[in-house]
Amino acid sequence: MSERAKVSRRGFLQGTAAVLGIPYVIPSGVLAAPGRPGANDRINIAIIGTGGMGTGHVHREAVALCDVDENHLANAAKRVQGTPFLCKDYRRILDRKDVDAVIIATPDHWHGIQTVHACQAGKDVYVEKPACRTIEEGRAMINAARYYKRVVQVGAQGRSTPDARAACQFVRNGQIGRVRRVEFWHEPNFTGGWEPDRDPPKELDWDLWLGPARWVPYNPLRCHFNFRWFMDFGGGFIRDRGAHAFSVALWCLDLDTMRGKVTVEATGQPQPEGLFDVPVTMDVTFRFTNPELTFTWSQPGRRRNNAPWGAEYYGDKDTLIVIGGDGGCWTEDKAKQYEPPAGGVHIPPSPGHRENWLECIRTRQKPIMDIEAGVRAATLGTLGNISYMLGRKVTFNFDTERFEGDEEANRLISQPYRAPWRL
Amino acid sequence: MRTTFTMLILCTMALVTAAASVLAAPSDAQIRDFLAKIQDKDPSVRCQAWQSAGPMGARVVIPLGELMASSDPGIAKAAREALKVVAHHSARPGAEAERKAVSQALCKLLSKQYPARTRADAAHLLGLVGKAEAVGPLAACLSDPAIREDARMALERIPGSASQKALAQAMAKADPQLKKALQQSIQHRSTTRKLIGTGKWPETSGGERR
Repeated sequence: MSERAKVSRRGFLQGTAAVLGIPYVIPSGVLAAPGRPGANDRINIAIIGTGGMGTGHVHREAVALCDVDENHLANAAKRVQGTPFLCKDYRRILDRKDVDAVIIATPDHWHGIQTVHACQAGKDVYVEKPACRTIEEGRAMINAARYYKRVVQVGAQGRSTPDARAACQFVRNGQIGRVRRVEFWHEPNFTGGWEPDRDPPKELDWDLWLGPARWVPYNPLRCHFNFRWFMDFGGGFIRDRGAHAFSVALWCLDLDTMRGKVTVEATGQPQPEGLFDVPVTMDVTFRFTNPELTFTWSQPGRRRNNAPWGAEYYGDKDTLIVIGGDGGCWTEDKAKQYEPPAGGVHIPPSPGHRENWLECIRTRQKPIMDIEAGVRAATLGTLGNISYMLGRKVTFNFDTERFEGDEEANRLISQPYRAPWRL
Repeated sequence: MRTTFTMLILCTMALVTAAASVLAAPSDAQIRDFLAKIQDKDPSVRCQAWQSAGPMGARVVIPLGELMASSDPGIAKAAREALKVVAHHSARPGAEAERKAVSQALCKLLSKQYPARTRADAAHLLGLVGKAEAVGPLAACLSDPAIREDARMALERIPGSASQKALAQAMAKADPQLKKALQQSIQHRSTTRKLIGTGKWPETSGGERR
């Protein structure tokens, strides 16, 4: 492994900070120990998926870059010092012994299989949200992380923001009482027009972009950013921003390992024109049994503080608004000014989402948005979409990971992969 | 005595369900009106029609399959979305006869007389709503390069011994590429999909990186 190919922790943080404009923080007190890197050891990071969300992850000391679009790859390579290893097939990255960890920023339909394969290859993983596309993928990701003892952080970074932490401490210490209802709101999904199907541009390996997804012809409105507006790939804002908002809610309510059942009923207004197939508007009600709790997801819903998306928590004593839930998160002053008493619930501050991941790679602790929490948050969006697609109420049991009394819904627990891809 | 009583109740329920199906079946005029709206020039009329397509049932499956090949993308989309609604509606719990009729109609869309995209979409829906009646027609598509992958994925999703047997039997005549894909389906059915939620998953999560 060449020295130039390695990235120091400081260098990674500086690079990331430069790209994202995030504060540069080095956590202290992390000591090296046999079998794990210490605070000053280098962690070699590769980026899989360098367009879209991946552009924010590309940093100057990345040792390898991967993208199925040559233009993305070339643009990313310009921002990296030296000569990083470049490829379009992520398996070549996983084969490399000089890569310690990977950041997966590919479209959603790749997250599950790439995370499982990365864990099998002994790499720690930062996977963009939503963590998984199906219930089965989520289970496979959790199992792979645990079996191969990998640190897998999901890129729902709200939990690393001061305001989400303040909201979490406020709610968990009973300041709004017992929470029975959380109302999420979000602006509608994007709408689009028509473009004819066509041959893919020469720089794009369309077959590899599709990967495990069932084959459809190339269309610019189906690819890159626009995959978000198709049920087969992205699944709309409920899975995109929903993964952030649900993540913060599950954290505040201490429900990352939720058990019991949830009944989900979704309605929406489809897109009359254009290629996209996610609904324009959507209303979903989630009724949980353990604990008894209701989530409502409304697109557009009623805005609070004129924010495009967020959630309002209803306790039996008070309410709390949390705006956003990704890197930009805001909550009310009463939560920000609250100091938990001695003996109360204290949530350790995160040094930053990527920094927390790097710290956990060294300490081998679970990161703040561990894969299990990420899967749970992603699953809620998936359940909403399944109810919408089927046009009926469904009941999902978190204990058995199956739907009750609905065979078709159970067939949607997994999505057969196009050969030769498999989990 | 108890058995006779139970049988009587079951027969009564079956008769009531059958009667309800007949009463709820759309008339010829309703179907004509529905198909006209799917082809309307106004996108909002088409959209409203596809959202209410569920009760139209098996009789609209073939006409919708034909409209999916329309040169007007708006009409093709309306037909495709309507077909999904019909299929999902038919697979609701307690509507077995309706589901089977829709599934049998979808099988007809697998015929080579339809465009590959239409056949692939039909195969996809059969993977969600099809049962034993869909296995034979899907298995027949495994020898057709245009949609064999869609047919394999649909068979992988259909539970039961018939689909398992069809996948295994296809191995005999399959080329190496298809054989590998069929093995993948057989393995997936017997491991992850079968074991999810049981706590008995293979610790390695199944497959290995290729």
